[in-house]
Amino acid sequence: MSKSEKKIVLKSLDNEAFEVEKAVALQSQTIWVMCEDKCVGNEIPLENVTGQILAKVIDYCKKHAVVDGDGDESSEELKNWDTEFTKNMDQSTLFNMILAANYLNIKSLLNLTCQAVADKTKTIDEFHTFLNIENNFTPEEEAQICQENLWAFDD
Amino acid sequence: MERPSNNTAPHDHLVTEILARLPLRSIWRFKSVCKTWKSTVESEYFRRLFLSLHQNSSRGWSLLLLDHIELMDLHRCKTWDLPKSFASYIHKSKKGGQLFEYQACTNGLVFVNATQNSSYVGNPVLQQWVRIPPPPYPYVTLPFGLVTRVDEEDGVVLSFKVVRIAAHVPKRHQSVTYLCLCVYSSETGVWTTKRLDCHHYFTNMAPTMSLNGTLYISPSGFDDALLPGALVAHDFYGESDRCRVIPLPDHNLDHNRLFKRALTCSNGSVMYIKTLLHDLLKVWMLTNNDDDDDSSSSECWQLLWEIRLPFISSDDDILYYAPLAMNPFDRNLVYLWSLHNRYLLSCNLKRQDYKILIGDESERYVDDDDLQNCFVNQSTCDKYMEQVIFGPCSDPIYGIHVAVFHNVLPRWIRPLPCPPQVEMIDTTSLLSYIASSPEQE
Repeated sequence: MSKSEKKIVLKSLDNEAFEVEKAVALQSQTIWVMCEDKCVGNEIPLENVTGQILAKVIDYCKKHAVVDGDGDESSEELKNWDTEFTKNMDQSTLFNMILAANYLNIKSLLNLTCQAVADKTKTIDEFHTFLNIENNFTPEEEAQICQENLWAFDD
Repeated sequence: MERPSNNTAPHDHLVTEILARLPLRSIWRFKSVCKTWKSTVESEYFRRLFLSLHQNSSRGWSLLLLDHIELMDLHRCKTWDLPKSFASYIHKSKKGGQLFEYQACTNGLVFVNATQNSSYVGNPVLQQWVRIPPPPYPYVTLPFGLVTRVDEEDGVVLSFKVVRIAAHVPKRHQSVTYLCLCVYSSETGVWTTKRLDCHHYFTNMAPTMSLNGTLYISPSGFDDALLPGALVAHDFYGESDRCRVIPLPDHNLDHNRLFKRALTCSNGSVMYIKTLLHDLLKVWMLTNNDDDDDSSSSECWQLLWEIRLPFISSDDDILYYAPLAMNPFDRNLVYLWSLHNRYLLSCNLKRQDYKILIGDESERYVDDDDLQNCFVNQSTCDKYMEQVIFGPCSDPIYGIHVAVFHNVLPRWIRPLPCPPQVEMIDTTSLLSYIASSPEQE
């Protein structure tokens, strides 16, 4: 295999191009399917992911491509790396990471980011704002549910 | 915070994935967010997803005394995330003593004995209680125990039985003891009577220990010279009326009485721990061999550990240590109390190391062994150990002192099983409910 075949170019929504090793990119099931189809060249357009998020996704994939297959010691190291990776992301970045992981179909990244959001989310308001959820309960219904589950609201 | 724009509106399945990673308390709070979330959370799919994602999450548990003061408590678990200890959900009040007494606790349920032969069973965290009517018989009964049947997958109580004792008749010459019991089932809402013929003579007994529908009775006696070296067990959900007598291991050895012991449970099995001379600690597990044939059933004690305790120095003595309990999830972890140092030790038998769990009013973090946020009630431990375990009644002739209950929170939430024709009481304070109910004068 020539050197160029081992590389692949990922293009973000805002036209930012990233050249990465194929082994790194193929952790995404979506990209894997695209490559199998051979209907795309060496450049893969990713219409749902911005360059800023894609860069982070590639960081993640690089780390996991390198370490996978090594001994037990590195799995611990990888876990620590994952923790650091999501630690300083704000909720909006995290959520965009979830969407990207979902779109690119990278199970372990989806798992990691969903867990990170869950760990950081403590209040209903945070969730409301963040997910842009509309409350379709009447105030009476809402009060009723709270009343039935008082224990969960108690501090 | 920046809102995601419309074209990145949350996909329902992603929201489900996030929700299922939250602790139960948050999930139950988030039911009020919108209709979709409420129905998501209440679906069977969601329950299964939650269970699979939380397989290895820590579960809260506590060690409680008869009066439900906690000895130690681990409540900040990833499964529930409760803000306070289990015991603090059971409202205590000084006036409460006259109206009711806490009797037993298992799988997150509590059995309370109130005046006039009536009982209450409740889930103090969910604040749900039911009043069990007095047995319809003309004799006085005393509370005996609470047994439960739980969902194997999530550990939630599906049904319970309240057991009260009407008579305890020991017959020395036949070496038999008859126990006349009244049993109330949450499935039928009816009291029935039951006589157990135990082929073991005993005049007294410690509070019962409940595990998997079975009550374990630890006999004791004042008047006999023999040490009461057996456990008596009855399965209240089984077909048979048999009362099993399980001899304790290591008992007929002609050694002196300088040992301390505890009956506890771990990973769903009955465990028996003993500390004895030469700094030895022994741990047995009760194993069952009667999968196929009930008549030839043989329960036997399997010796899991026999080790020299690593922390006893030359100026110290094993006699000043007492085993308290085991970790409910890990058969390698034993908790021991040091009388001299007045602290609790968590001893990992596999690694042969130990940790001192200093009691602290504020919560304390320990890194591993599932001991995050372990709270040790120092003064209660101190009092209990000094007065009971190292007190005047600690001689083995009095039997094993079972006064410590393991309470392990389930993995999921379902309402308290409500017997037919009984109304569920939703109340934050059982005491004020009982005090205000018209049956009280």
